[in-house]
Amino acid sequence: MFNLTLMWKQWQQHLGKALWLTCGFALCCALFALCMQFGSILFQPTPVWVSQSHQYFTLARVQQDGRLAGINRQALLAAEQMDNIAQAGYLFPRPAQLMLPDGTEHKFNLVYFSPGLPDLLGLPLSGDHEKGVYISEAMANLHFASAEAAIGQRLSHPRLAHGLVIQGILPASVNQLGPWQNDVFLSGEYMHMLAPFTNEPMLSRFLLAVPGYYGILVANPKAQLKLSAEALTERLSAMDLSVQGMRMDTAGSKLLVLPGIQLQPEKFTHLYRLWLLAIVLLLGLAVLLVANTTALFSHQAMTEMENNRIRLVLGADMLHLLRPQWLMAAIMLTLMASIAWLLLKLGLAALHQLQELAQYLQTSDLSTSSGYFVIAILVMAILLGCCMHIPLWQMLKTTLFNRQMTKAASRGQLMVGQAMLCLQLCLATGIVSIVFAVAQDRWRFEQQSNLPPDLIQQSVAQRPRSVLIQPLLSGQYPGLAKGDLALSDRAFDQPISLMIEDPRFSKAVEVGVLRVSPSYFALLSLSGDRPPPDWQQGVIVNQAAAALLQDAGFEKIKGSRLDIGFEGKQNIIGQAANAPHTGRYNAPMPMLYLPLKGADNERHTELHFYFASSPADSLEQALETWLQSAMPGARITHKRPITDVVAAQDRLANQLLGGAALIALLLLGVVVLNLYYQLKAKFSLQRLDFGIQLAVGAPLFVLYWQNVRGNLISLLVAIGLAALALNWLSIDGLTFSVMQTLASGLFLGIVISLVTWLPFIPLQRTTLASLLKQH
Amino acid sequence: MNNLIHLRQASKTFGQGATTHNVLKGIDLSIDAGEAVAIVGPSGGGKSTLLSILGLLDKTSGGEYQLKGQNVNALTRRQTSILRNRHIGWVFQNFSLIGSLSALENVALPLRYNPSIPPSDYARLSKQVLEQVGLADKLHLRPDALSGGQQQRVAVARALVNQPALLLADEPTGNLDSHAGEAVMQLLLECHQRGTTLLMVTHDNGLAKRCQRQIFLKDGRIFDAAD
Repeated sequence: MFNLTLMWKQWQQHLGKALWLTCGFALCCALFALCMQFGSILFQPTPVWVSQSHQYFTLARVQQDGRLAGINRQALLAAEQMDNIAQAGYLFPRPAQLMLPDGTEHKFNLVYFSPGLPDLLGLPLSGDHEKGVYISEAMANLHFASAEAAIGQRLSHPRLAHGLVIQGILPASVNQLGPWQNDVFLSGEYMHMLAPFTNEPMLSRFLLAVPGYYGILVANPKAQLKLSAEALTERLSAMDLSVQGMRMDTAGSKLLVLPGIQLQPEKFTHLYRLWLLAIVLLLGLAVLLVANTTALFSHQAMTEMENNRIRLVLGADMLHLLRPQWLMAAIMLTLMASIAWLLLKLGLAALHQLQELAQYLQTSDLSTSSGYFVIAILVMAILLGCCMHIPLWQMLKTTLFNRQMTKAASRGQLMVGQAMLCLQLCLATGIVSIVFAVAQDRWRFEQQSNLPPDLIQQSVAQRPRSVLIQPLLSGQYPGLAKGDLALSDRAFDQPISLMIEDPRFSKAVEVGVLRVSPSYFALLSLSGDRPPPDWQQGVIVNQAAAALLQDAGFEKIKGSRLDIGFEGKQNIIGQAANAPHTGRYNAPMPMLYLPLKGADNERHTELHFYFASSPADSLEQALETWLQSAMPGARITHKRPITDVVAAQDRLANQLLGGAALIALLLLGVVVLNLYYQLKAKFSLQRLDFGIQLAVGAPLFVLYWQNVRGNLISLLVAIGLAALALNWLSIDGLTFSVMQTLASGLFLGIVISLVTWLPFIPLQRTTLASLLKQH
Repeated sequence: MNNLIHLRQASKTFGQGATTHNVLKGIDLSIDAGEAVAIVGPSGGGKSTLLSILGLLDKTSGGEYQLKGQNVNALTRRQTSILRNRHIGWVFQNFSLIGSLSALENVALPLRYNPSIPPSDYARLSKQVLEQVGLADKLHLRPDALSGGQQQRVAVARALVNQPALLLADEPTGNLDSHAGEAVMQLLLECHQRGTTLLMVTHDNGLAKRCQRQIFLKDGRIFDAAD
């Protein structure tokens, strides 16, 4: 109890800062646990769908933008023959048009596997892999009554006399293999249906030469030498892997062996950079906190120095002096652990929202790991312990009888202090620059939305089936005049994201794609070109997409042809204004609008209707009647003004800015508080010196300048370091300029000047006689 | 009489190399239990240094120091702390009270560092000794609410609470007016009369003369009072 009282008495002056630092340590702890958990999944040598443990290698070609492409079979055979390679297998993704038992044809994503691959990887497939195919549960539910009903059914292909018998349903873990969605998983024995030839030996030569295989190699566990991916790459690159008489274009890519099973190294690189960024932030934060906490405990030890000396004189030992500190540390740790646990939960929830991460990791196993949390807490406890003990230890080393209690810092201490201040200011400059960049981007991209405020988006979902939309679009349906209503196949804020690969682009570009009815542009008040009323062919691009095309060297936009992957080559028939699909504060998404043809052979699982809310009663009534007749069983999932849809996107942008500003504020608060406490401690030690200088006629400004000068020099160095660091980190989606860093520096300069002035305020109110009094 | 303190050829040096300063130069001193000794001399003569060595706040640079027959130079830091806690009471010129604690808490501090005393006795023993020094009504006041004389009486009470064999006072009246100084001096002499050995550094010849023996210290050496 006495220790608790003593602790309270010793710390009551510093409770605010202690609480602030506790929150900082909690953030650090949560970030550390998060980084460990994220890292453990990111650096797993095998993806979650592999359940065997071997030393794997991935053999593929790498393109200029970092994405993988397939190799030919010849390369795989060559690798299989190499020393120290025990086994080899492959995956071969390729979409194909298959006919369902009901006679409808659909394009499905097929992934072929080498016969031994399921065993090699430990894929949980039931039955004989050679006697049939496996389909995903999603495909079974979409196209068959149920998963059970799909088993035993046949998928037809013109080149297969007996079709493909559905042998089983794929486990959820195999639904996505790397970047490929896996609708149909089938043995490589069926690959001959891909080939343009049917006659041997052309067929075999074609399958040997086609560059679509992603090799998976297994190292021989008994091998004397440990295999390296680099050595394998070197040896395979030196071989002639061409197939005589078959020349397939693989220009712009080179053969590469990667350690483990990596089918998306470009995503790994991106996530790895994200992880690295988090580690840099974590280290910066840890350094800041350690510096601040050591300063706090040093200040506290200095304040308590005389009291502790008295206690030592009276017979106290080190344990007696440490107990109140331990108690404080224990309270800080308990509080920190509670806050950190909450932050970790929030962080994991945020990671779940990171679609890219979820897609890459293909796992929902991001639950809070108590193991990592405990490790993080222990590390924080050690850091806190060091911060607490070092100043006290220094103090205990001095003798109890010393006439000249040296309070001035040594040269080394001063240099370390200045370096720490510099580092803190560098972090603060960096984070303020990021906030400025986010704010500037938001201001730059902010667009006025001309969307009519009374426009309603009504979303309807149904089981996949065809819907004859034509009468609705042409104004033939009673109560629905032509132009009253617009339709799209996806919601306004959820266009399909598509990578366009055109030789004119230096790398594949991501665009949004929406199929819309011709009246879409008029109803949404989007200025620019309008499609014809009987729009069946051609694509309308928005201004952002047009700018992208111009940058890529398209001389004219209208009339150019664009290869849109699954849609083939399309003519650009017009250019429309940017609509705020991603909200008003984000960079407008390049959009391609394709016609929603409304033919009865197209299946739809969702449709989105747009109409003005006023006068809408009769229109809504007519639409409801149409829905009942044309889409029986469909349900309305959403019905809200389009402005609400945009506002929801804007909320996300606001949260991003708010989050960045909050982190900046936290860091800035730590830096400012630390600087203030350092100055305050320095002032209490130099009180007499100040008194003497003032007594001999020094103006107060000179004393102020003596103190602020060093801090401003540190800031100048910090600005340089921050500019270099931001340039090195080059955060995706943010544009940094020297002006932003300078503006951040100027802002911090003002903050530092004000903070340095704060301790001078009480000095002005103190009499010279009091300053000159020895304490 | 038995020797409580025995110092032989004790020296103390501060600094190194060119800045070496010999504060004590081969001091021989013996003090018996129950004696009252005043150390006097000019400023810079080594009085406070000698007292700090005798009170186990510092160690000699050379020579031997025996307290109650024990060679203190051979003791560890912890053993020194225990010896100081159990057998030595300190009174400083600047009172050296902890500002955030009440008079009672300040007095109880040495008891807290003495495991042989049960915590239930802390308050009773502290009150007892505070009553002895005439501060029974100031138990819960903090030092800043007490006068200088009262603060020094709290310091004396704290020095006595563990019933030490040796009471050391470094200029105990230096910061007090004559009236308060006299009261404190009276207290110290009363302790001595009850059997405690008193060793006091002072500039005041009047106070020194009230002790049984005076030691004159100049330039780090002891001179006879007659010299």
